Amino acid sequence: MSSKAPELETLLSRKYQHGFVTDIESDSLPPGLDETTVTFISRKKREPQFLLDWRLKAYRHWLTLREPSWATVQHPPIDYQAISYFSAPRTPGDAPKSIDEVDPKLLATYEKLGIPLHERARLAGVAVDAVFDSVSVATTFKDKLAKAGVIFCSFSDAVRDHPELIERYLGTVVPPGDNFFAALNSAVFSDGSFVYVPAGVRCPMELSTYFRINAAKTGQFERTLIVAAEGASVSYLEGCTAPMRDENQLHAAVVELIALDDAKIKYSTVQNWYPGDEHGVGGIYNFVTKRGECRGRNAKISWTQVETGSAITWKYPSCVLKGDGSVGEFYSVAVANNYQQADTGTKMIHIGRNTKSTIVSKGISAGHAVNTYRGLVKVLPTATGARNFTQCDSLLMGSRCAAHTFPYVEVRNPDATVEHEASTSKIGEDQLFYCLQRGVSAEDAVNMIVSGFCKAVFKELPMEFAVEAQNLLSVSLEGAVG
Amino acid sequence: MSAARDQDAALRSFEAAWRARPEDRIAAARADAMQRFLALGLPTTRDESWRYTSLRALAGRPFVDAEPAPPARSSWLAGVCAAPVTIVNGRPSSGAPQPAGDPALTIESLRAAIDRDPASLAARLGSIGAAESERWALLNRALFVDGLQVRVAGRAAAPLLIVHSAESARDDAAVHSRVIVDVAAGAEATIVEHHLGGSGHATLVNHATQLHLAPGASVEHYRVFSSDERTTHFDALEVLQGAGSRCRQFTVALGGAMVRANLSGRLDAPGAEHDSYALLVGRGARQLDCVNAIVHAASRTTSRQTARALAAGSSRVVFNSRVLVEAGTAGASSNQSCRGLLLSPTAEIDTRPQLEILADDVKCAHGATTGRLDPNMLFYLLSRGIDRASAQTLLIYAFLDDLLTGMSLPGARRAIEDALIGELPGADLLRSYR
Amino acid sequence: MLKISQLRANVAGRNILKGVDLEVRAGEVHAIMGPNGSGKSTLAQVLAGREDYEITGGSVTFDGADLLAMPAEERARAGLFLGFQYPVEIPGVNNAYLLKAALNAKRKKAGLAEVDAYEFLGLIKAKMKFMGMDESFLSRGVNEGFSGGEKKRNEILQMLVLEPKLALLDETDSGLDIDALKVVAKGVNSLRGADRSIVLVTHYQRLLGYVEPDRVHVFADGRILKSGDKTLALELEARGYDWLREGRVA
Repeated sequence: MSSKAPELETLLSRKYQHGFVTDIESDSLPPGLDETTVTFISRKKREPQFLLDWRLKAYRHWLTLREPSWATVQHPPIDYQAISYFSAPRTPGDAPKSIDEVDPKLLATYEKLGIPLHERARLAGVAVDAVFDSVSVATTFKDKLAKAGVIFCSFSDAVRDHPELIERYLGTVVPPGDNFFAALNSAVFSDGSFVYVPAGVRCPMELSTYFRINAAKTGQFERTLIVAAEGASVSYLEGCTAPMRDENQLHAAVVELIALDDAKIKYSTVQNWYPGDEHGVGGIYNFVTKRGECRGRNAKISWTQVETGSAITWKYPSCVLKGDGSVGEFYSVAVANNYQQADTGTKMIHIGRNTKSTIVSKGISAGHAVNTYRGLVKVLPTATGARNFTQCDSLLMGSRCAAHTFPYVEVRNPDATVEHEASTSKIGEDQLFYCLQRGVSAEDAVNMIVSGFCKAVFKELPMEFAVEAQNLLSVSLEGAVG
Repeated sequence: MSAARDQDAALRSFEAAWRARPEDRIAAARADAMQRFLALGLPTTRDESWRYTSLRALAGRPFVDAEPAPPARSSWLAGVCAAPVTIVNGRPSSGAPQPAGDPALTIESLRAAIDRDPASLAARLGSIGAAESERWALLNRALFVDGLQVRVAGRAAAPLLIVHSAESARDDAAVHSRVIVDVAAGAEATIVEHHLGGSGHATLVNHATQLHLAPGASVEHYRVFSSDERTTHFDALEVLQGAGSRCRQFTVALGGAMVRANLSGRLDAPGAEHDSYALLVGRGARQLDCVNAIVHAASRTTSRQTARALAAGSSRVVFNSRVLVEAGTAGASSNQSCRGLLLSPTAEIDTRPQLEILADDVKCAHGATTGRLDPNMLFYLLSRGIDRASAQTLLIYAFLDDLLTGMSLPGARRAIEDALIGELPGADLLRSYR
Repeated sequence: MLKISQLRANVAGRNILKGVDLEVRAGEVHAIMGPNGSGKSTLAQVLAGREDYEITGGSVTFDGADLLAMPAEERARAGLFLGFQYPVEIPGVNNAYLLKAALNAKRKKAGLAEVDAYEFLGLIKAKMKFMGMDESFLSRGVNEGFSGGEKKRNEILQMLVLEPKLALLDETDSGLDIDALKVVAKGVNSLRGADRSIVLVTHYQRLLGYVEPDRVHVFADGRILKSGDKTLALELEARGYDWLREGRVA
């Protein structure tokens, strides 16, 4: 393979394609964090008192916590006082009332990102909520969704229009004090998405949120809350991009999913935050807490993620399987190239009887990257008949990268079955050679082999995003073989 | 006495024991270890490697050194070797160990080795206990009273049995002992360490074994724990392997209140091969915590780790195995297989097969399953008219079988099978089965 | 010998057997044929006493006794034998031990003395020779590392040792080459007798060329659709199963 290396290096040196900055005047807070910052955000968003109290409590708790150190990630200390906790694109007067009032430059940004934001440019009936820096700018297809009884709006709108739902569900899956980053998010979250699918309703379209960090020296702290009532079902996708900047930016989101009896939530992520350049300069710190709770019988929560971006990813989308017969799934592709660090995985907590979980994780490391799978399968004494199957594979490309696998399997019920399999190997030289001998270019061969490796995960993505994910993967791995 | 001071009772008693010892010729090495141990403190469940084993109760108890005692019991593994060496409370029983009558074997007490050549011995003690997870080995370096130095110069004619016996009539006795085994280039040996005893008293046994294999050496090593239900073992085993050496290691835990068995293997040169097997039987309130770490530090090294864990009663069995492939190596291959069988609703099995890979030319895999007896197998046996209890007994035994068949020392295998059967339900049936 | 009335059963909450009626008299050989997924194997497993299959209605008597009230091991000792479609591998439990234990469990129940190791070895070796099996298999784990054909042969060997009153052979012919099929057929035929019954569950007519059935039943959608003599099997082979289902709708 070595003779092929220089050629591949060139082939694979394509640049981050979403690295443009949109020139919009932002309405930003100066960097710094104290109780006045928290109060400012809450007041700015005209939140009810309960939410301000909730934020302040989270903030005070955050002060008592220390940044977690158990992950295998390394970064210079983050100065939380150097981050701006609020950055809203400035709009003339009030917030836009319809898509037509949104700043055209912003719309152009989304066009560049390929997001089907504008209703006229709708793509396959996907409803999109776009979060730009910290504020949700537009939610499409509101009317059609409203007809079905589905609430899909920015988190701020939900606080204004459905405070009772927010008060009832917010923080019930990820409590404000859950961990360092969740506490920080709870104190300063600026916006995000809210979905409520009422009992018996099958959400008529895919829901989607695109997140973008634009302003410099800002952090993004969005919060997503999805509730599927009895018998409801919804499929939700988030995508993320950020401009190229040579400082690191912090993204600390919290996602909470709640599925009641017989409800189904499918949550897909295509994460392409700016990963930093090939020397490891810049890039997003993606420290995210995602957790779903199957609260009802036969509920199902399925996480699918394709993680190609960010300088550091620290996230473990998890399922708490409380309801009898409930099902949790985690399908993940994590790619780390150059100096990226990914520490990701899941937790499956089996509480109810006959609960089932499946974990399929595919990690790809290239360059100097470190890719870690970290997962917990816990079967409590109450979870009679619980089953888990975990498949966890790592692919190494290049001799300077690292792949780690840290599963924890804790079983306390004798009538449970838990199976875990893992493998780590380098990209198959035989397979590569076979492809080359058949005249396939090295780049295509790598792409073919890698996408074959990831197939079990891609097939879980909604179709229109599977293609995007595939493309992202090949872009991310540029320069990886040598 | 305040709660905070209580929590340090064990630590302070170890420090006191160290201060009370007459200085020997490796005092500096011991002092260094003690200082580090005191700085680290006893591990808590917040330490990753101690996540599943709480020492809270133990930490609050002061310990005193176990007094010298005469041998009080014989090992059921005595059949494997004509002249076993017995170590009671950390001291070779007759003051000096019996010569084995085998020209390939040289055995002396560790004390004698220290007096003969303190500098080189002191230099070797520290390779174990460097990691934070090996804090007991650190303490062992500070406090071991004696032990053995074994040299294998050629092909040993017979297996060597070392019987470690804890005999004390107190509930606060601690035994610290160490065995160092050097296997010369191309030499071969089978070494069996049997830990037994306890005399019904709450004894703490902190033992360390260092097994160093020169290029081309070949060793089969057994450590078997069958102490009574009041004995706590902290056991650290270090295996350093030279080029082309082979090590087969069996850890068998059939007794004790708590057994924490560490194995840290380092494949230091190309072609080294390491197989380790853990047979962990949890019953009653027993806590078994087996922590393996194998480092592939050279190219073309191979490791295989196999564990079978049974948990009955309210026991807890932990199997933590870590494989690290260092950067700059090529052709490392590793496999970890852990199967756990839970036999009771109050038992627990925790498994952590970890891979840390810093090179790309590797083939590493692990598999772990935890669960109940396979319902298809059970139904098959029932459908042939076998009664349920017998079918279950047979399947439990079958579950452990492939680990037993890996033992190439027939006498050890037979004796371990007998002892194992005694620990399982349906012992009579299993005896007739064999 | 065996009388099944309106037997209904669920598997994992799904209704699979939907009212099965079947009577097998002593000395008869019956064939149950039907398409994949029709519930034939479920019927065999339910009769053998598989616990995770839920009986929702009907009755089964075996030699006048209530079969459904007996646990699986009692059914086996009473003389019911199931030849599995997919015999499970049990590493660590050896073939000889299983066979001897099974035989003695049955003999004990019948009030007979247990056979000792010497008698057993004589008996088993003769049967193995008859089935063309190598003696080395005795010390191996049950079905461990066996090929598909070897597993099926082993099932028949066990049947010959246990001499059941009623043998249910679930797809014993599937996956066998022609030589193996002949050996299996030879084993089955050797068991035929006035006081024994055999039920062959099969997908194809192939085996029936070697073991001639007295009755043939077509099983589809959880019940017996049609019964006839051996010519029905030939008709099925020629025409498939669809005509029967269409006929039912009409």
